Amino acid sequence: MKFLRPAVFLALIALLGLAPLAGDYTLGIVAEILIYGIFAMSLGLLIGFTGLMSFGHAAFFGISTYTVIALGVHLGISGWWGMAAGICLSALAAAFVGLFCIRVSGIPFLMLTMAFSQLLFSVALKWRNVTGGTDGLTGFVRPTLFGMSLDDAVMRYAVVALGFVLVLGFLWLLVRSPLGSIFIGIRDNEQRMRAIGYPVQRFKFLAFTIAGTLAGVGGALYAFFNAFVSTDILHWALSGDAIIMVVLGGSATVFGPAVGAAIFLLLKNIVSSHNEYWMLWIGATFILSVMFLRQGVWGFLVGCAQSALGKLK
Amino acid sequence: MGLPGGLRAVRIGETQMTLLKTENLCKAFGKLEVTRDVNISVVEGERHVIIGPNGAGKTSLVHQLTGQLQPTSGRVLFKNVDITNAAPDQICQMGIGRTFQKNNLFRSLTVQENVRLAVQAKQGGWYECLRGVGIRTAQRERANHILEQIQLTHDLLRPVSSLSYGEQRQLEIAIAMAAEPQLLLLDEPTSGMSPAETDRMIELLRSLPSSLALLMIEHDMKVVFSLADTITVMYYGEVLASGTPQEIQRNSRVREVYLGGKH
Repeated sequence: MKFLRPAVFLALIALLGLAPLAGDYTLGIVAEILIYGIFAMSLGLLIGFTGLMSFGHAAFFGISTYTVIALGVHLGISGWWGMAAGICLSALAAAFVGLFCIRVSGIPFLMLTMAFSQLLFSVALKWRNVTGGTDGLTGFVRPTLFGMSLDDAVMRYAVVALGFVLVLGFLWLLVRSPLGSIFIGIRDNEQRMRAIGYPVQRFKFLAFTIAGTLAGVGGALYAFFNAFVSTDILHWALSGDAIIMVVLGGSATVFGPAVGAAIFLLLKNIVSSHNEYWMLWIGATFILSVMFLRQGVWGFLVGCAQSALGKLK
Repeated sequence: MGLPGGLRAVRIGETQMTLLKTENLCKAFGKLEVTRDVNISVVEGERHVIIGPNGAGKTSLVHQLTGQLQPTSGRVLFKNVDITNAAPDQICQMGIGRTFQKNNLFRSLTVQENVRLAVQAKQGGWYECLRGVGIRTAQRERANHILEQIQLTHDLLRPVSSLSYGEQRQLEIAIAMAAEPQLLLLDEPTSGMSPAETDRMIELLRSLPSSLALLMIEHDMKVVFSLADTITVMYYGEVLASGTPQEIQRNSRVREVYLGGKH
C-alpha cells in the first residue's frame, strides 16, 4: 500500500501529460472529465470522509461558473480575476449555507442543501439581466496565459489538468492530516466524537466550506472550458449526477469520485452518440455498482491491488 | 489496591472536594418521568456505583450528566461550575469522561487510531489540527501507553471490528481515559461479558489511578461489591438509598425491592 499511492500518482501524471497527443476532440472530453472529477472529489470529501450527504453541491460549482462568466461578459474583467472571485464567492456561499445545514443531519440535511441550491437556481432563472436566465450568458472571452489564449485546446487542457492535480494533492494531504482524521471520526461515530471532546458542528462546518470552495475551483475551470453558462448548472440534477459519480467510483477514497466522473461522462458520450437513452444506461450501471461493487469501481480495483500485493508478501 | 470495597484507603466525605453534584435533577419525556429529584454527589477519587432494576433511569441519568440529554429541571455541578446545559464536548473538556452501555467505537479505524483521536482531542486545541502530521507520532505513543494501561497491547493496528467483544469493552474505557478525565462515568462496563472477562474487567478497574473518581452503573453484584465505596440505588427514576456497601446491604427498603431476590 505504501508505494501504491505514489505509483498511481505518477501514472496519472504520465497519462495527463500524454493526453494532448490524442487530438483536440479527445482532449476536450478529458478536460471535461477532469473538471467534473474535481467537482465529484469535493463532494466525496463530504459524503465519503465526513458522512454528510449533500444534495445541493451544484450550487457552489455553479456560483463560481456564473461569477467568472458574468464578470467577464458584463464588466470585461479577466477570467483570472473572475476565477479568484468565483472561488471566494463559492467559499462564502458554502459557509453561509453550511451554517444552517449542519444543524441537522441525515435526510433533513439532504433536503436543506437541496432547498438552498434550488433557491439559487430560481435566482439565476429570474435575474435575467445578470444571468441571462434560461438563455444563458454568451460572449465570454477566455483569458490568456503566457500570451497564449485559452481558446487553444491544449492550453485550456493544461490549466484544467493543473487544477485537477492541485485539488487531488490537496485532498490527499487533507484526509491524512489531523483535521482529516477528525472528519473521518465524525463519519464513523458522531456521538462518540462529541463525547471525547470535539465540537462536531464546527468541523462539519469546516468540511462543508472546504468542499464548497473546491467545487468552486471546478466551477471556475468549467467557465474557461465552456465559455458559456446557463441555469442547468445550478439545477438539482447536476447535484444528483455528482452523487452518482461519487458512488460509482467509490466514496472511501479521494480519487474514487474522479473515476466515477470518468465512467459517467464516458458512458454519456459513447451511449448518447448511439441512442438518446443514455440516462437509462447510467441508471443500470449505477444499480449494478450499488448491488455488486459496494466500494465503487476504484475501491474495488484498490482492494484487488492490495490483496494481490498481500499475496506477494 | 486489592482491598475489599469498604476498606479502601480513600475515606469519603472528610477532606476530599466534591467533584460532581446534582441538585433535584428531573427528566421527563411527556408524562414519563425517567429521573425525579435525583441528588447524588461524587468526591475526588471516589468509586461510586449506581444500581437499580432495568428502567430505573440509570443510563438517562448518565446521559444528563454528560450532555447527551437535557434535564427538564434541576442542576448539575462539576467542580462548582454549572454544566447543566453544556454540550457533550465541553463537558468532556472540563474533565468528565464516559463510556457507553453499547460499544460505541470508530468501527472502520484501527485500535490505535480510536485512542489517538481521543488523545488528539485532549492535546491539541482544534486549530492544532491544521499543523503538520509530525505531532501524530507523539499522539500515537500516548495512545499506546493508554492501551497498555488498559491491557490491550497486541497488534494495535488491527481494525476494531476484529476485536473480541470483551476487548471492545476495554477499548471503550481506553478511549475515555485518553481525555484524562477526573471523573469517569462507566455505563455497565461488564454488560454482556463472560465471567472470566468480568473478572479481568474488575482487575482493570481496580488498576485505574486512585485519584480518578468513578461513577459506574453496574448490574453484576460481584463487580459492585468488589469496587464500590458508595452505592446509590435507583428505583423508578428516584434515588431509593445511598451509602456505603454495608449500609445498602442492611437497608430494608433496598432488600425489599432489589437485593432481596438475589441475596
